[in-house]
Amino acid sequence: MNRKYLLIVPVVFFLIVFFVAPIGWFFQLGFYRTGPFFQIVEEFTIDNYLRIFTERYIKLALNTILLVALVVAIDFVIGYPAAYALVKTKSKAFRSLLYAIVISPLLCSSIVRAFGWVAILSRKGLVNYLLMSLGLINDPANFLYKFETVVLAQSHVLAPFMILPIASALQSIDPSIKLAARSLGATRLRTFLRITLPLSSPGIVAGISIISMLTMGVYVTPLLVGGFMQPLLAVQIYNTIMGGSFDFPQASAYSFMLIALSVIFTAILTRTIERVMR
Amino acid sequence: MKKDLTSTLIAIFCGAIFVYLLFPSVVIVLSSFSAAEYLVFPPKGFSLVWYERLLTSPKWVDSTLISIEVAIATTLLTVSIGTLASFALVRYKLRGSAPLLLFLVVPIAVPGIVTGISLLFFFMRTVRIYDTILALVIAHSLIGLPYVIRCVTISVESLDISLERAAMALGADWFRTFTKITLPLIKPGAISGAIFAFVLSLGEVSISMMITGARFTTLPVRVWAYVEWTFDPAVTAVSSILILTAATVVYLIDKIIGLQTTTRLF
Repeated sequence: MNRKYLLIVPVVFFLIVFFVAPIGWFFQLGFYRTGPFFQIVEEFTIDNYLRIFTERYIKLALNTILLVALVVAIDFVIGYPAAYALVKTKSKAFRSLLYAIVISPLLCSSIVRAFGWVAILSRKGLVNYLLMSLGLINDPANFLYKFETVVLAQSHVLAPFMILPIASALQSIDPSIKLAARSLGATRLRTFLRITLPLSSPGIVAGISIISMLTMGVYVTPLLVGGFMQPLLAVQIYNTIMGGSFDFPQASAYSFMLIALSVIFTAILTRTIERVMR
Repeated sequence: MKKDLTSTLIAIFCGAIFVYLLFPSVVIVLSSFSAAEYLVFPPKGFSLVWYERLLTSPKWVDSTLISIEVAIATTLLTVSIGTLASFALVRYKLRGSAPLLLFLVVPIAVPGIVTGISLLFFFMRTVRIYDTILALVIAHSLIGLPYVIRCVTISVESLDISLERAAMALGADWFRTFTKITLPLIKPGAISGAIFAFVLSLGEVSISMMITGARFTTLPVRVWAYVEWTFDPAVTAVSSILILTAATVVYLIDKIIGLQTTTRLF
């Protein structure tokens, strides 16, 4: 036995004991049911999974997918130009500043970033203050606890995940290809559409994958800016546990269905984008 | 460089995007200096009262200390096991290194709520360490480990193996070479990985929210409680401090490995 394998034993052990095992047990839990006193009754049942094929759940799933689609679209519109600016900036100091603006939110807790939007959109917040002082409305409007607010906050929180992969892809494009196109007479727009955009597609696809996977399972930001009734899959899982019923088996079924849906939808989304880019 | 209308418009658009990205953070920091009792914009008056309240409030001080303690422990754990693994995976091309590197991403890909509930159950039933510092450290390490390994891997990949060979040829044994030559050379990767692990642990909320008990509440979870239930304007002061910490970390990372390298983490 090669002694060098010892070096990876701690990591492998850690992942198996504290990640694979708990998730495995949680998966197994989905086939049990909750008794009247919140205890786990270890009788095999697929009721928890059958409850997924209800109209209510399907509506939740579609709503979550809609959120993902909107967030991906918004982040692409915001993210691509930002990434382009990041890569094109010549001044090293300014570029560092731009990178700092993009990366520092990632290192901040998502709760702080969501709170920022609460502060801006609340009844006594910035937006209401501006609207009222401009005379556009008389009473503070309610911007929070709406689906649109979740879209806004979520796309803002995840924007760096689109910007960084695209910036990475743009950096790896050989500048001589663009120069060649231009010297052959292509306009800037044409060079961009035919050369830069396609060559940066690995970054675009990476960004879309990350944002799709993250948004499908997100619950903290939606809860904070959208409230507990927000029709999203992960929020529903949260309510299943914390909403009073403590129904772990049901939460398990919902959770693994969420993971399956996340993977399937992200795969479909990335395949579609890849095909469009061709 | 032709400076025409399109270029200027695009530049303005990009500028607007960056301002938009920065916007909520600025609002929070400005609001934290308000003298009012509630969250209002524009902030009424200038005062440090909320920062004072923070320092004197036992709950906030408690959470801050807990978060820092968990973050330090998480960093030590992830950097130690992560550096060893990273080195072995890159240098020795062990069988199963590619699958392992891929599998490391899984804890980040699985929704936080699922990992959170799984660990909640695990810590209550199997390894009964629910509501302890250790539980939080384990959970945060799952998130931090991939970043540490990724950072150290970048450093190890750029390591010149002939330096180690030279040391060995001059008579140093494996251990001495590792500690005197290899480790100092992968310091940038290890330090940047440590910084990521630390700050990601400080801000971790998705998993922490599910496994946190009444006794050990981390800072982000307490922020959540105070925004969701009873609003405490001290939240703006806490948030400002976290934002400032993130900004400082970004500055440090830039000095150590350069911010552009972080794009390689993806």
